[in-house]
Amino acid sequence: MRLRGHSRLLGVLLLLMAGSAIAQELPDDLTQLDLEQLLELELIPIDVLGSHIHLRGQWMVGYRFMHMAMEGGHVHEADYPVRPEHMRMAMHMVEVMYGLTDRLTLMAMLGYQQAAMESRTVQGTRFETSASGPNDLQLAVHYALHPGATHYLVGLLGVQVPLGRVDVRDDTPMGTGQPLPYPMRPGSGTWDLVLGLTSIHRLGDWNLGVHGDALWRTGTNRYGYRLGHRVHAGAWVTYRVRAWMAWTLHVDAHVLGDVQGHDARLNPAMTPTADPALQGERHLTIQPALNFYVPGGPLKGMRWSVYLDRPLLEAHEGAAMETSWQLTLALQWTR
Amino acid sequence: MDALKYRLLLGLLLLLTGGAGFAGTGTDQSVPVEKVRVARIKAAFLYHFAQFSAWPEEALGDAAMPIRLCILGKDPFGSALEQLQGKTVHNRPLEIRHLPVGASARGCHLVFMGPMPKQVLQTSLKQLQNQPVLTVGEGEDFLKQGGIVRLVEEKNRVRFEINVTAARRAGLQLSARLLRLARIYEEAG
Repeated sequence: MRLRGHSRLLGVLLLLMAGSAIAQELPDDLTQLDLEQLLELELIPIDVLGSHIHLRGQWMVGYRFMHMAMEGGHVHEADYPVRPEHMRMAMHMVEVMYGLTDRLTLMAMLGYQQAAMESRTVQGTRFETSASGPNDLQLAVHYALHPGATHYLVGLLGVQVPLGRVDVRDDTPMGTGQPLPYPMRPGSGTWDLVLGLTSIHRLGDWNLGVHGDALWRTGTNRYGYRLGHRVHAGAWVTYRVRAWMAWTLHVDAHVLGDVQGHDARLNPAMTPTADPALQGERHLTIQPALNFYVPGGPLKGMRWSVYLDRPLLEAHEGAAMETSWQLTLALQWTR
Repeated sequence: MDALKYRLLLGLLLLLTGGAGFAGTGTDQSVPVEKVRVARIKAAFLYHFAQFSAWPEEALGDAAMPIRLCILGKDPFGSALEQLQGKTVHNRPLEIRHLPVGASARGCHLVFMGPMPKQVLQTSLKQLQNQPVLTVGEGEDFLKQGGIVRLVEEKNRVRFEINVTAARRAGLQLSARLLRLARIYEEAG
């Protein structure tokens, strides 16, 4: 049923793209174009393969929707009086990038998170808690360390501003308005630093990329803890099948440290999601994706990506819940 | 997830990472596809500049004489000029010539001045001053130094600027369409 729903969505997207499926390849002889057409030609085409840097004066607005369903955990249910069973999380992320120079791009990214968790007590009582709110705001600069024609290296330096709420509450069998555990909180409560490096090699219809970044948490928040540092590495291969369509294969890995300190309002012996020593994880996925591009018309410059909903492979360690499926829709518009 | 599978995947990731790093070295020289694209677009502009310019009768010679497009100094176009082979401008064949830096460009109708030292450029432009030669360049001071058309890369597109004073001085007539699409530069005084 779920699969059929997603297939329908994919079908609609393909139909939308088919309307714009006019390959915008350069003719062999550009003298056939008139002056007005020549003036409109992009020197470095913005296409389905995308770009991580933006030229001076160029804007990119992106929106990403992510829906995740997570199950269970690795902890014996007998060890805790309350055991998380299912968690659903929806994230809406808006990203704006602006090319200040041909090498330096400014970026701001803000997400909005909606999370719901179903838990069961050792007596068998099931209950659901939910929380929503904006995540921390990420402000960053991307700098093209090597802006080559077919290979470029981009550095990332940023800061995460603690806009997201840390104090989220809901009713539980333990009482009304109880503080919710760490995975339900949209914010970190700390100022965090982000450092990253992306290498992209473009060869004709192929795009090969590697990315690594680290999120360094600073200090502790007002509840006496900080989330774990995170290291993320990813690699991808994209192949342009048509001017308007490409497939991608992503390999992503991240290591997240445990929570340091603890929120004194949570009882770590009650549920694994409240235990600071069980919040770390190692995660590895291989995910296929389809990318679409609008090469002409009023929506020219728009890119869509659909990340297929089930990771082909997922390695997961730690007490956190396992992703059972995930759907990501990403939309980018460059002008 | 067992440790072996995890290590295998991590190995795959490292392999891809290494592969991309390796692929990233030295490829700019081998397949500069974007550079070729830029050169092709600029070469097409040169063709249109010739089409939308009118030279004095005496500069063209008899009807069989070609319109000469000269590349003075380092040629940034390479194979991009192939698209101009066999073309005609004002019913005359278009002939492409390459001249070394410092050579006289008299006899050319349109000269693209490649990258060269400022002093050398100034001397070349001075030699062509008042000659019916459409000079095209890309340097920031090209128009200030007396050049006629400057190609500019801006916001991921090619734009062009025209020094109308220098064009007038050279006795060239530029079409209204060309002037409408250009950014106009006039010399002071």
